[in-house]
Amino acid sequence: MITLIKYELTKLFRRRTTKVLLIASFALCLILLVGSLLTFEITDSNMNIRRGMSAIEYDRTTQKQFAGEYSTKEATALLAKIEAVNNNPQYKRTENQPANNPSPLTDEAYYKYLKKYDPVWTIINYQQAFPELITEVERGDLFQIYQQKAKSLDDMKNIPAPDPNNPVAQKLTAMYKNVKIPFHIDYIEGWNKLIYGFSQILALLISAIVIICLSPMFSDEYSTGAAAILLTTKHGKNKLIKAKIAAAFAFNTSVFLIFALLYTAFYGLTYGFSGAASNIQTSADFLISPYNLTMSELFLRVLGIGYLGLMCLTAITLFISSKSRNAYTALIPLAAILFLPLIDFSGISKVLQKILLLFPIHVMRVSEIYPMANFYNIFGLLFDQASMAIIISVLLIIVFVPLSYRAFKSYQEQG
Amino acid sequence: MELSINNVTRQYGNKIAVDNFSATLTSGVYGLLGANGAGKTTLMRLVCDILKPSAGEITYGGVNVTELGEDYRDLLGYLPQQFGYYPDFSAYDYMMYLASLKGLDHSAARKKTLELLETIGLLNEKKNKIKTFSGGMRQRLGIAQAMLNDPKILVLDEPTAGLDPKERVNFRNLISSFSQDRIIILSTHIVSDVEYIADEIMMMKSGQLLSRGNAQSIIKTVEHSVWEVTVSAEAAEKINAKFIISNLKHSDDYVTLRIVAENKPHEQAVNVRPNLEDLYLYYFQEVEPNDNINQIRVD
Repeated sequence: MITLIKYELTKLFRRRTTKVLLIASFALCLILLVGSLLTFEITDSNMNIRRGMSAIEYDRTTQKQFAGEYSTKEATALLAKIEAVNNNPQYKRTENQPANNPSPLTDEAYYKYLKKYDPVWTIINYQQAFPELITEVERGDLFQIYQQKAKSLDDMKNIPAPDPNNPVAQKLTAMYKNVKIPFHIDYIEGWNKLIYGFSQILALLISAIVIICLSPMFSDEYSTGAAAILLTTKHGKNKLIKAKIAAAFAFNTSVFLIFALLYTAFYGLTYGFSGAASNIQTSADFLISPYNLTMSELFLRVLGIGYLGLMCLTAITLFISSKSRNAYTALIPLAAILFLPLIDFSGISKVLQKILLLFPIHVMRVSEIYPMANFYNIFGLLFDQASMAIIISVLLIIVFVPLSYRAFKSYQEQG
Repeated sequence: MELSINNVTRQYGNKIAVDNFSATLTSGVYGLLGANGAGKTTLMRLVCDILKPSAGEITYGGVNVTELGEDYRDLLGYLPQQFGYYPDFSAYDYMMYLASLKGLDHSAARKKTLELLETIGLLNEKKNKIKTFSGGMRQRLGIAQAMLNDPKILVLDEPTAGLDPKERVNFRNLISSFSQDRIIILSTHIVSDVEYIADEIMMMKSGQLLSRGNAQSIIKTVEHSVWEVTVSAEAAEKINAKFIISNLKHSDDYVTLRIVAENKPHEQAVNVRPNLEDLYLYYFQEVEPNDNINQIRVD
């Protein structure tokens, strides 16, 4: 069996498409990563623009000053301190004084005394408002929740009237009450970029690699006429198919791990791993997220759920490959299954949109799942999007792998 | 050892490719003769269990071959008409891959691979990628892969396609030495190949078994239907338009024609001993003007 898997992997890696695609994708990622590093810039306290590693180093050192957990008393004290800076008449700019900052201060004062507080100020404000948010949700008032999820003004039109018996509100209340307060604050830029960057690259690039490289897995055997020989061999209708499936999953696992390692190593080496224990609520994208997770826990979910999404996509790819007469005809439905769910159909049907959110591309974009809980009511039971994504992906794998096996096994050489 | 094809029919929509075909095969070499579309390839696919019959069944030792599954495939060697290979594999890798699919352990696979590559004259090319091979070399490799597991049933669809005369002779010798206690079914358009190798010939037309027997007995069926006549070029053209011409020879102003016809085609025509090509034409070629009349000239 191991020998057969090796041969299937050899077939896969010897294809020109595979080689070119892997090298090009790896190079593209490196360019994107290095590019994002070189273009990262920040204005320091002396109003000098820093770029690249110097900017990261400055940002990290500045934010690290505020690392820790702030009790209500400490948070109030910090906010008072910031307010004092804000209200210091020496720093205020005159009405006609030009400025390039969002505060009422002069640019010199803003960059020197106030800017460093910006991230912690936002987090502390949200932390202070969190109990109020919980009370609102407990009352059944989901205005803030819908506001967070809304993509357009239209989405705000159908907010249900406050109802404490609303099961979504009850579920959210339980989740919010579970969130650890005070938040653990630290420098989390590396985790932020890693979580978002890897989710996107997984959904848009690695998934494309998988469907392009694996779509010939069965279909090429048909189109080249090799199936006729393979299926008349002793192991052609059993071990060979198992080996093909195993090789496909080994391939996607390898590609997944290589890119995960590349991203983790890159962001770890540049931004560092501080902030692993910080609440996700300290990140701008997750300020009112109901999930009690740290940044490192969220990254593990990005890896776990993202990998499951990729496995699901692999299972679908294998099935379509086993049913297609050549790799090109397999690629068309695969590309549609992968990328069509990116179109927002919520204007046409909310139910359709919710279903599409369970397609592999959305499962792999894990960073989009956790900013707010999105629920599915299945026979009176509420499941959040993450749980549904896991359940549906596992079910699809369970269904499509045996179907692929059967389709190749029962292939009939015609024409 | 008995392979039985029992009333097998295979339909593609309304088209019947194999029509109620029955034959029992024991050890020996069987040559399948038939025109394009006669159902030879379909029949071979049915025998190899990569195509299911619409009706009837194929059994080996009395058991349906589909039920035998892996045990049946273990006895099988198959070279399809369109030999699918992996262009980036070397000949050696390709053989080793198929050997592992055929259940040979590594050392046996290696031994058999090298032995067969030597037999087909590709030992020195074993490390070269198949995509660099000529058509004949690929075809030889295809024949070799079919023999990797010392199959008891060897099915070869157009095995001599693309082989030069010397390679065809080698192929015939290989099959002859291999045929002991095996069922070998082969189809080819090169009638002489069948004539030399086959113990028995099966003639197929419109998916049906037309006749079956050894070359001599089967040729006998057209014993009084092959004629030869030497006529002027003008008369030859007229005969060519009316009858099936199996051969013609130009010399000076005269043309010698070999004609396949039930009745005497010309008053000077004489009956001659038929061969397998005559038989093939008798069964499979409709009367149509032969363009070759102005192309073949033996002075």
